[in-house]
Amino acid sequence: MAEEKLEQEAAVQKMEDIALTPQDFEVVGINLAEGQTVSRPSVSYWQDAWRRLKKNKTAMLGIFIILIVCIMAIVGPFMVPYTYNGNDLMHINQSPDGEHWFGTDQLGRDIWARVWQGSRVSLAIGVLVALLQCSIGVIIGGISGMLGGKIDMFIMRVVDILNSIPYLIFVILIMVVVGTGIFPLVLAFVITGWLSMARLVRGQILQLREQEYVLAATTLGASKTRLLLRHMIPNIISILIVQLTMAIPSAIFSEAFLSFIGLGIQPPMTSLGQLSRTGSEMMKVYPYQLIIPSIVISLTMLSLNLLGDGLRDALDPRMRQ
Amino acid sequence: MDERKALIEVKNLKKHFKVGKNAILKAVDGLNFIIREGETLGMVGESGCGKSTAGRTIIRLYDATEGEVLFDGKNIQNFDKKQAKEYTKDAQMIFQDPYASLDPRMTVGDIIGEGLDIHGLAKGKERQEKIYDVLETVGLNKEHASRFPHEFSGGQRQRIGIARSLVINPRFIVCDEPISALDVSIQAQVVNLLIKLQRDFNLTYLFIAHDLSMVKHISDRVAVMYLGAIVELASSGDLYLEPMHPYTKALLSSIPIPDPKLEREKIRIRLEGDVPSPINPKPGCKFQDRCAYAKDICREVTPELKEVAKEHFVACHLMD
Repeated sequence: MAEEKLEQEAAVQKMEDIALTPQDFEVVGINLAEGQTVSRPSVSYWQDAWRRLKKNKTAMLGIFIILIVCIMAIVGPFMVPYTYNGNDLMHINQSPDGEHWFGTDQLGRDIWARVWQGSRVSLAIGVLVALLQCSIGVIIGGISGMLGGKIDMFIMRVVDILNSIPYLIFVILIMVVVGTGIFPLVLAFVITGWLSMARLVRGQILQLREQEYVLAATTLGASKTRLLLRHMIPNIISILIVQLTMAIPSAIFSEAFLSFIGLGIQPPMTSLGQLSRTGSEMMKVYPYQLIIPSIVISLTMLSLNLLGDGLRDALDPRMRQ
Repeated sequence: MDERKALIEVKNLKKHFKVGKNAILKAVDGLNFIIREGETLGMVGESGCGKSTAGRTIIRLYDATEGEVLFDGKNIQNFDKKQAKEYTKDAQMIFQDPYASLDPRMTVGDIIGEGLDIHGLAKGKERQEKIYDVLETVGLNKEHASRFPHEFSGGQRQRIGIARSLVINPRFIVCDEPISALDVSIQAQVVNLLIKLQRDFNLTYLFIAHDLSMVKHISDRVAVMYLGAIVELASSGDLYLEPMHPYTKALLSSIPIPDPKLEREKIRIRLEGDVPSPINPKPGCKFQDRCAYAKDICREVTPELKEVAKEHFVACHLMD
């Protein structure tokens, strides 16, 4: 200890011996403007996310498959001279060949036309349901999180109660009241599906409310509507997009499931689930009638899920490099 | 001594948070001070002593539990919607964390222009001009307006934050630890910018910080806070030369001196224990448990802030 102290004092003494005078120094000055240039090109958030998404091979594969399915759902039925509901009792249960690319079913309807017509219905239901769920969820979750207090409490208890009722009960009730078809199906899915979305949005809003940039906007006099529309929703939009991509396959699957058990789309209108149901009746003799629609369902769901995962990684700000 | 009129008058301001069934967190518990037009009041104290809560209550981010804040003689708690919006134009805030205080989805131009949009101060080309002007005032240039916050360094972001509050010509700015997240070299730049802006635009600052030497540099007067109350308030010269409250003395003795010889000889007052919890505090002086001179009266009666010397206020029974 004592030695150390001596050493220190010696060092201080030495520094004083060197004895620099003010003449030894020269004012160099500082050019502030020089330090304020940003050389990197400006990249917006979405450009950056797209760049990251492009690097993700599985997500790009997902996009590719979805595009193919979508294009086929649009043009597929027009590629053959048959309609999805025109039956030809002379050619029933034909195996896939040059005339009927995917074969025909037990009523002699062309399965190619039916599969793509079915994809059309399934995709339309999926997208519509997901969009409606998201919009209702954002509106109600946003109001709940933004206003807080008693209103928040009330809305969240209503959500809890609705959430405790199994969705099949809703579906059956709506079927009984409104009848079957696309519209009641969408209605049933939306009524049950917005709940989790509203919860998610509310949670995010509560988090964002404490963020300094939201406080800064508040001190600038921004109204609650402005805070919600200009600051909060743009900042949770990435989460919403991921949720939306995940909600589409789950709606498609629910529709397929309900149609499969006979609660959904009724023939002669068709959907992928309805096709699987008809196919399953002939599963042992004509397996292609089940396999083809099943593959289309699986591919659609898989690719949407892959895309959803890729989007989550690409849009996550923590992944930013 | 100072004849300038008071812009902000804080009278017995209290802000309590309910944290449990019977627990009340007294973040701010009876503040009294004034800020004169064009002056800087520094506010120091350790983490959790209620500095930021006080600043946010004065700016109306929080509603006060008790007491009043007068801005230009008008009680800000009684403002109606229109007056409240008017107040947001006069009173602004600069935030602590330059990384969290700018909306990551907006361009710098839109961030700065938001105040103009909300108050309808400028549109179109005029708005653009104002944004460019204020960017240059804070030492950035107009190409920066189209960029996003993540492209800037901490110091630059803090300048953007300053520009945002400056563009609507406020009279009063609460600086909530604007430099504590920055490098020392950048701290000086930002503080000097704040001083320059104060001179140019006759701004009034409430400067909240825990860096004592920086507060001394920028403030006309300094208030020392401990556990939600002011223990000492004096001009920065007086406070640093003759601190009177035992807590202020301990706090000032912790400033390192940039001279190894003096630093080694300096006697540091070390405080025992930790800051007590602000939840359900016990009666008497808040500093009683850590004070070497605590008497019986300190445990019973909460000391009032009294003028001990000219313009030098202390809340301590030892001064009686």
